[in-house]
Amino acid sequence: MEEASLSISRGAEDDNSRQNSDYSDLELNLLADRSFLDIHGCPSRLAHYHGIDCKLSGSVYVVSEIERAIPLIHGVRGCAFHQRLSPRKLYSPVYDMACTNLMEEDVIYGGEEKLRRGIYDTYKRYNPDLIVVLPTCISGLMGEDVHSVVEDIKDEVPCELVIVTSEGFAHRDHDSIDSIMQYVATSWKNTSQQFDFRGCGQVDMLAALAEQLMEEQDVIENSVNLESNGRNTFGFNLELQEVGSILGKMGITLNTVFPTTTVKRIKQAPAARLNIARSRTDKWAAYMKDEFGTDHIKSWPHNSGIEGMARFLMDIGTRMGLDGEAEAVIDEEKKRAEKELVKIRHALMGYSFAIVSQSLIFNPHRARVYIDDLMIPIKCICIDSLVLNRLKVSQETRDMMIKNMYSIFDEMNLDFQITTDPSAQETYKISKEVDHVLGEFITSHVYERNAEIPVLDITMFSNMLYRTSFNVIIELGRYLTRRINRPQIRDRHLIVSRLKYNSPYYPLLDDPRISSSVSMWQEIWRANSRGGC
Amino acid sequence: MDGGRFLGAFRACSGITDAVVLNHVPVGCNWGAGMFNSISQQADIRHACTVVHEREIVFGGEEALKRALELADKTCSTPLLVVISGDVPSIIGDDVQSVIDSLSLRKDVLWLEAAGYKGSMRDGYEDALVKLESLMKECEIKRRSVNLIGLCPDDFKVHADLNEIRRNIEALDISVNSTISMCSLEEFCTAPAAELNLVMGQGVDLAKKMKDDFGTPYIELDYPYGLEGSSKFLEALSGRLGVEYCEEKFIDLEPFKRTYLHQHEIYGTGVSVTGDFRCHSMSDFLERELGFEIEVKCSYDQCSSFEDDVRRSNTMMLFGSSFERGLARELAIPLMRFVYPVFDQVCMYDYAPYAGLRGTVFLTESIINTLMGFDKRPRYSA
Repeated sequence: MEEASLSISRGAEDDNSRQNSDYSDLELNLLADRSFLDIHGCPSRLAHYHGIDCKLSGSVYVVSEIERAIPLIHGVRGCAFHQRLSPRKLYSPVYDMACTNLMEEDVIYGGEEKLRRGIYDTYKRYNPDLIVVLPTCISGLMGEDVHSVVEDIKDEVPCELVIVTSEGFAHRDHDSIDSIMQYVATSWKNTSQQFDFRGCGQVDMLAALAEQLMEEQDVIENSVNLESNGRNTFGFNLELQEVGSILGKMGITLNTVFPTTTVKRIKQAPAARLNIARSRTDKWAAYMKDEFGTDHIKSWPHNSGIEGMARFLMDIGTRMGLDGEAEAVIDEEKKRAEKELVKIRHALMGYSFAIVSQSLIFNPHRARVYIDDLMIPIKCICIDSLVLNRLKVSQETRDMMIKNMYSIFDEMNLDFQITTDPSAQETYKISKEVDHVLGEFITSHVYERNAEIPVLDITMFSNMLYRTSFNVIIELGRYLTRRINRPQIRDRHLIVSRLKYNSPYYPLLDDPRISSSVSMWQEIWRANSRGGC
Repeated sequence: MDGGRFLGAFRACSGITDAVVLNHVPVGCNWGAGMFNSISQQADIRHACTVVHEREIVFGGEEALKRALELADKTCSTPLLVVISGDVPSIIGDDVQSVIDSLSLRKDVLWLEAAGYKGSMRDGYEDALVKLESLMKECEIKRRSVNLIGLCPDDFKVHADLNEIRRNIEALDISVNSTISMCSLEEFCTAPAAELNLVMGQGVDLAKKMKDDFGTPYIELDYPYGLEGSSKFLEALSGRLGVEYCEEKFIDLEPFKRTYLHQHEIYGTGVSVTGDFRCHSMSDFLERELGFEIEVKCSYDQCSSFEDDVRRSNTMMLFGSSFERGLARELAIPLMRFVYPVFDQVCMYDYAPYAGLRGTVFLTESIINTLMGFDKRPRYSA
């Protein structure tokens, strides 16, 4: 059987070379992603404090993942101009994009003829396998009958045509972050429920591909589809390599890496027995279940750690009728991991650690990696929950998330101190009582007082702990054993530590221009966004 | 490739450094405008939007605008609020002026319509400056002073370029009064104090309006790239203000001697240039002063076949924006970013310009280094 290859569209050749090169070293792979991809993404993280991106950008992003697919924006040129720079892939703008360039006369007389011409021209210019027609605010307001235009000409255009409702004014509302967090908090042990992420262009685009492009197929036994996080996102290649490898050992093949593949592969997605979907974007998988009977499973935080990963793989094996094969592979992987972990634990046991973390609130299961798998001698866990304020998460949801976290710690029944939102002085004091502080780059105190609180940054690994395989846990352990043996630099004077930050909006700077802009946005966003009419 | 009228208006208005821009648009338009602006301006965020949503499509956006104005007035300490009304309010017919008139706000509020379907980015920039001109006031004329018009705060290298252009002008004993639009509200309002408006590429409608309203004369000059371009710029300025300009005193060839062999080597190399109005003066410099062959030159408002033309040419180096990176990669040639939008490089140092006399040195150095640092690989695989 032909296996899914990761297909690279125009504008992403760098990833092609990265995918094909020999990145056997897991840490190097992650370092490369952080160094060369994430450096582009930081303005987008900042911008989320004072705005949200367009629904259209999510749709464009998904189209850009598909080889030989072109987004055709039915709107004004300004939309096409700035949508080239999708917040999900600032590293790699969408170079190939078409636009109907609606002008004032089109607003008066209608733009359907321009759309018709635009589809022909796009085909002529790019010779694509798929054109995705994306209506915008303007064409939506004009009441353009996009479906009729596409229906009329689809037989004359020798490529696939898909339409996705992507009018910018139908964006998500201000409660959406809280809804996501609530969903995360309520389903932290069980992912059976579905989340309706209304107004997300990415969700609607993936669903449209399932609805309009996929075709009934003969099911290929022992094959799965894997929902991709995006070729220009941190850890994507590694995840694909690791998941593909371990499933391969279980006798399972990857049918479609959705949507990071070819149009042909997307059409053939229903041939898979199972979909491995992501948490909040799984509307496509629900559709496939209804239409094609394809079962699905979600990749989720409780898959963290050796046992979590084993349960996840076992679940996949059971659903595929491969219990025996899965069990054998898991046993083998666990034994291999255990052998490595024994050495790592031995190296770490002579030291004491504090962990400063935000991510344990979102995924308390990560604590199992530190405590159950690596058996790091932790004296204190400092939780930075201010991020929940920044995200405007409701008190009810916050309470739920904090309760989940404490519940995990209680189950572990270990003797470590837990401090929530310690001051810089308290964190400094804690750092003096341990040999090493493990932290994440987004956590404020450790960076504001870096000279006094030397931190060993584990962000790179902590973000991968539930996404891949046993190898990431081992690699995190190896990384720690190497780093603790290096002399600690206690006289750093980071330039970023000289800057004053805005609490509670860290890492925004304490600058009146930023503070008032953020306040203004937050107030207006809360007042004017109420989930549509 | 053009960002449209809304983006042009946003770029003009956000250049008033103590004004807040309230975009009366859906969230996406606000995001897009801000994203290009924030790459090298991470500590200067002064915009928000009214969150035009489905509800506003049905019931109108005036209530949303009213709420947003009240909140912006309450939360921001800046003296001026500029409302830029985009596509959707234009179609649904929001009466922005009535909303503003119905409120008693602490700040001055100025609004402009900038529906994307009604024109280009240049149109948006020109109209916004003309609208802002209503804030200007009669001033006593400062002898031998000029306003620089045509800048945007998110132009690549703009702070460094401005420093160098200012240094060059001040060396003629001419002072720079206002830099539009990269100045405080007070500096903007007192622009009529200048003896002359100097328009670099765009903003000519403002200059005409200021001539009508305040009698300020203006001249249009190319953006000063290169020794020759800078000299022409300074000659024109000095001629107009009756100041002596002696090229020999200004030009220092010493840095160019250090790499003259490299400059010999690049002579005759084919390059292509695209961009806003700057592309003309950049290609003049490349062709006339460095000896490159210009294979394709195309300003954003001229043609849409730039990429295909370049593919058919012998271009060995591209000059443009970050959007040209894909083409450069496809053709396996280096890209020199010099023009908006640049989002994959940052500008921090205010004394490494591309424009003006010293800018010519740094630009030449950057070009040579870009060529030398490029790992050549076969352009066409078998």
